[in-house]
Amino acid sequence: MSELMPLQDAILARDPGVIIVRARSGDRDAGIRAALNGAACHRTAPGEWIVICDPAETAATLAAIRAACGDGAVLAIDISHGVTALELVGARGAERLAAYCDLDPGSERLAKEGAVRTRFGEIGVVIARIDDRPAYLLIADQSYAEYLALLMRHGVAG
Amino acid sequence: MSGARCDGGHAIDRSRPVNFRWAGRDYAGFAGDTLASALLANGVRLFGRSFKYHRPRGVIAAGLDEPNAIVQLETGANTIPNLKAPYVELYEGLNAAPVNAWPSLEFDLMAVNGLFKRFIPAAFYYKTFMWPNWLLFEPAIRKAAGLGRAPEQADPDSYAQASARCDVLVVGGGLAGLAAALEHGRAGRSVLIVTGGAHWGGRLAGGADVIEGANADAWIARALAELAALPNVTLRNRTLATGSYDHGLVSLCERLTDHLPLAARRGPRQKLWRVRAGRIILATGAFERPLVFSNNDVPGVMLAGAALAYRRRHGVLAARNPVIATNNDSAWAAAFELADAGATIAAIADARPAPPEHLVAEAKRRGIAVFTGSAPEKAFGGKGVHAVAIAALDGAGRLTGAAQRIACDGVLMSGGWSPAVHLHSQSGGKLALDPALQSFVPQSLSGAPSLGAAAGDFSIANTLATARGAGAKIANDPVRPLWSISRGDDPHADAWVDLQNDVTAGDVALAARENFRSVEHLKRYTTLGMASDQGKTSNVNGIGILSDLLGRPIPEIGTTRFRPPYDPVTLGVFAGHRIGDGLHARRRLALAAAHEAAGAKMEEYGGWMRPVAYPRAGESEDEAIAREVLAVRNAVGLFEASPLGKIEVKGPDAARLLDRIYVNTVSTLKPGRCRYGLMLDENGTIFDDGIVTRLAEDHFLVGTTSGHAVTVAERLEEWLQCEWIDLEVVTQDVTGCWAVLNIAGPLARTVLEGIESDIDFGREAFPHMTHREGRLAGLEARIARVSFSGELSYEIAVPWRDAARLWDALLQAGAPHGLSLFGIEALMTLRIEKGFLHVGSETDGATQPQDVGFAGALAAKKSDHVGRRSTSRPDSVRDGRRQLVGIAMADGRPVEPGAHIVRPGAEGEIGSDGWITSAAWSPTLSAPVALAMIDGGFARLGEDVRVWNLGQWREARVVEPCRYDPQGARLNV
Repeated sequence: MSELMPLQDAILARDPGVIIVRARSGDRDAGIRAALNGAACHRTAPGEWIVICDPAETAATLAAIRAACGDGAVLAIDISHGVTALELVGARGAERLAAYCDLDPGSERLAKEGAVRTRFGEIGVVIARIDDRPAYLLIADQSYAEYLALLMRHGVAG
Repeated sequence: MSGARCDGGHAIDRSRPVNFRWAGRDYAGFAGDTLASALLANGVRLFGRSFKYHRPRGVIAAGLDEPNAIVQLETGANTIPNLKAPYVELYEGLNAAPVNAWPSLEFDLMAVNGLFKRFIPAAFYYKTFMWPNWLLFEPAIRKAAGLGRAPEQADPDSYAQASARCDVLVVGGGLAGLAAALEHGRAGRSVLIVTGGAHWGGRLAGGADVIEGANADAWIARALAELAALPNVTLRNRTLATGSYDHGLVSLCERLTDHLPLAARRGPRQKLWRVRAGRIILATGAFERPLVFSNNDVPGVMLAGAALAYRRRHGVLAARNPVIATNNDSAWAAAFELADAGATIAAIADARPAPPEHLVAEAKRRGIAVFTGSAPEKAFGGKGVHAVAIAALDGAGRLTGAAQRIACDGVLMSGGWSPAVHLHSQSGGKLALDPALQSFVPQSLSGAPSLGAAAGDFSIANTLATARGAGAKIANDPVRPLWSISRGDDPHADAWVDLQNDVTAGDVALAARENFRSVEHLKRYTTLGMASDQGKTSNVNGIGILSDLLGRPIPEIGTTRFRPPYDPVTLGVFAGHRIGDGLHARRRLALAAAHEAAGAKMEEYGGWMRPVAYPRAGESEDEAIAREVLAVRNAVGLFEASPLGKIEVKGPDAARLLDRIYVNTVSTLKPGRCRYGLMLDENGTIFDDGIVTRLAEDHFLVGTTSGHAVTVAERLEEWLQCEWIDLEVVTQDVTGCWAVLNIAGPLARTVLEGIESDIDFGREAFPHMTHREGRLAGLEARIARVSFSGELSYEIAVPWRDAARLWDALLQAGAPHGLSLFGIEALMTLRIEKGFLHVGSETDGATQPQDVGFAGALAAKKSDHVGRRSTSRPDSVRDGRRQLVGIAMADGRPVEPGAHIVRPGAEGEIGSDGWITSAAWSPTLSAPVALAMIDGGFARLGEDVRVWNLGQWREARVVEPCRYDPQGARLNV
């Protein structure tokens, strides 16, 4: 049975740079995307963007976003310290995702935006699609890291 | 009866014998057997004792509609009660036992209940055992109720859950389901087809039917092979659809290891699937109905279709010399096939005056006696049937004339077929009575059509055509409705309708006489349909009997509501990961490992695992708390406050937003200053409190109580998104981004000044209730000089991953000054000594700001804020509201929160004036300290009161809440 296979290659700890941008009004989308330097930018809610970047580029990316957004009702915050990230790879990774998340991996929204806010177990998370392997990046508040590890272990033999 | 193996048995593997134990004896079967088929093959006919009267019972069905053969599987931690023997797959070493029989199945002492049957009919407990007091009898009656034994040890198994999506979900693995899956699979749609049993093919598997020119087994094998080869099709057996919900959601329970020997089981035992399907096809089959006649519960009386299933699937003859009793064609086919397998059919009794001629002719060709227009009157036997009386039926369906007694070892009965409409009804589908079938069939439901027997279509050709989108409405041959067989109009009190709950036709008549005439009342009054089989073999018969009694047509009677689950589901699979540490999503502190290494006792507070205290060797928890309190009061202590909520609020209207949210005025706060604030809900009730800090002109940091940040953040967003859409402000919960360490005590400043920093911690440069940003120990830091302990105190926030470096720096700098770690309980003691409010302890769903000493803040605020209007309602401003006070115990002993405050001198039944909300032993004062909310508390300072707790009375006095440094001198240093 698939549940008996090991998970080491399916669940990988990651340490991305993560920036959250909240803006109240105005069309900020173009400006934010233009300020990025190869970082992945996902619109996860009206007025909210999650930017995932190389950790070494986080400071520069944050500065660029802040410069692009200017003053006003805008917050761009480096939340890298505040998150834990897991990469779920392949069929086994997709199975772990399906075990705790009702997200439709084939959803239009995920395809269009590349990331969505959803629930994983009992917590809110951001799921970002990495590529078509399939592979997903699960981003959660880092204080839940142990809880996530418990979920990943649950229901798997060995 | 001498049940025995015969040819056939597509599900068994005769090359793999399986040993198992039943009722203390060892038996053998084959791989692929069920517990029931293996026992039947070994000649066992007694499977259990009935629920109320402990009557001997045998198996009547071949699936999860079985009402009698209820078993206890395994022992100890692995025991599972109340499983249906035909639904238990046999495995090596299986150990099962009957339920509800003592000391044995053969000799059950409680069978004496049967002698008192007329005194304990349905609903007897509503009318009897009332004098002198029902409560004298209830425990004994409850103890006698029930079947199996619940496990007493923790469940050793784990359970998984998963979500899935598909274009088409096909429920049912028989002809209709396989055909539908092929149709949609070939069209390229994603298809999930499930069947509850281990094997595919449904009723047709193992039989001689011809499907599209091929033998049934060959057709089924080809279909399965094609489906397995399609990449867009998933087949899951041992997967039962348990419920249908809104928006195309169906729950499935997959049995992963139940069929394996205990020692071979690995991984989760079962899996709950939540499937969202674009289209659901219900190919759920139909249940055969028993005939209701006297003694129809004797072991050996069973459903004809079940007997056929045992032959086809397991190569078992349930009876060697049966009588067939029926009102439709299907039992004739069963009779002929069983005869071909070696059974000698004693007779066929068909209630129809003129069954199809070709069937009668075939019977005669085989030398089988045929009784038309006849029905069984009574079965004879105790622990096994040995004869049945057959009599003619008159035009009204009543028995008439002399009965003929026929020797037999089984009565195989069929009262017709009822489509399994459960999931259809749960999906919101309507039912209509098919007058030919005399059963309820689904009316069309878009998005969830029923196919095959589930739709009342028993034609192979039409089922295939319908699966391919071309079928027509089928007209079934009419059955003769025969709900309750008797000579007179009164249904018999020994003709069983619901076998599992021991409900007779006489009980249905009793309910009708006592005016329980709605089908829902019939169900509750008699418990018909309320057992673990959920009335699969009894509901329609019960409705038919009630219809006859009341003279109302069956559609007017209707059915009871169908609710999930379709069959009992283990609680574990609903829990999934939500057990043990997974029950709640607990959060860990930034320095969790450091606290544990320091000997902290950890407990959950508001979803966070936090240190209670740090007991040292030889120290009790109370001693540790006292030591920690004194360390903070006299030197310096260190506490992790990371769970305190932190929400950034930014924008030109940030101050306006916060003025509307808080009781206090925030807009007058200068950058770099902090203010304590109360948040209310719209009822004026205190919702949260905390420190709000102005970081810049348009940028604030909202502090919330620990564990409440998410709720407060959501509340802010709700106001912004739904009501104040014109405000230019954004919010973001950053609680998890910043680790917070609180250093408190008279030496706190000294410790900080010993660490490299660009911040001036001097008294004038960094006064109480101010905020600074800079670097400390080389780390980016936000520091607030605020205090919950009443001592000089700083809350230092650093990025979460830098917490360990700050911790080390503070420990090192604090060591020469006797820095001591302190936990939650010490902090609570400190704040109780100071009379500081704790939302959720001093406050409840009615507490308003004026109740806890904030009337002045309310009055001073000129602008509107959430909850303001509610604080001026008559009830909010009346005298006598519960108000925050301190309580000093006269005897100097600690008091418990929850203890009630009562005026002295009151006698008899008295009301409570309020209660202790927080209490602790104060090592600072060497006395107990307590806060309370009591009626009119502010006006009662100095009053002597009594305190009642768990039957004990004590004396106390109402005092000011703050018992230590009321002037706050220790804060302003």
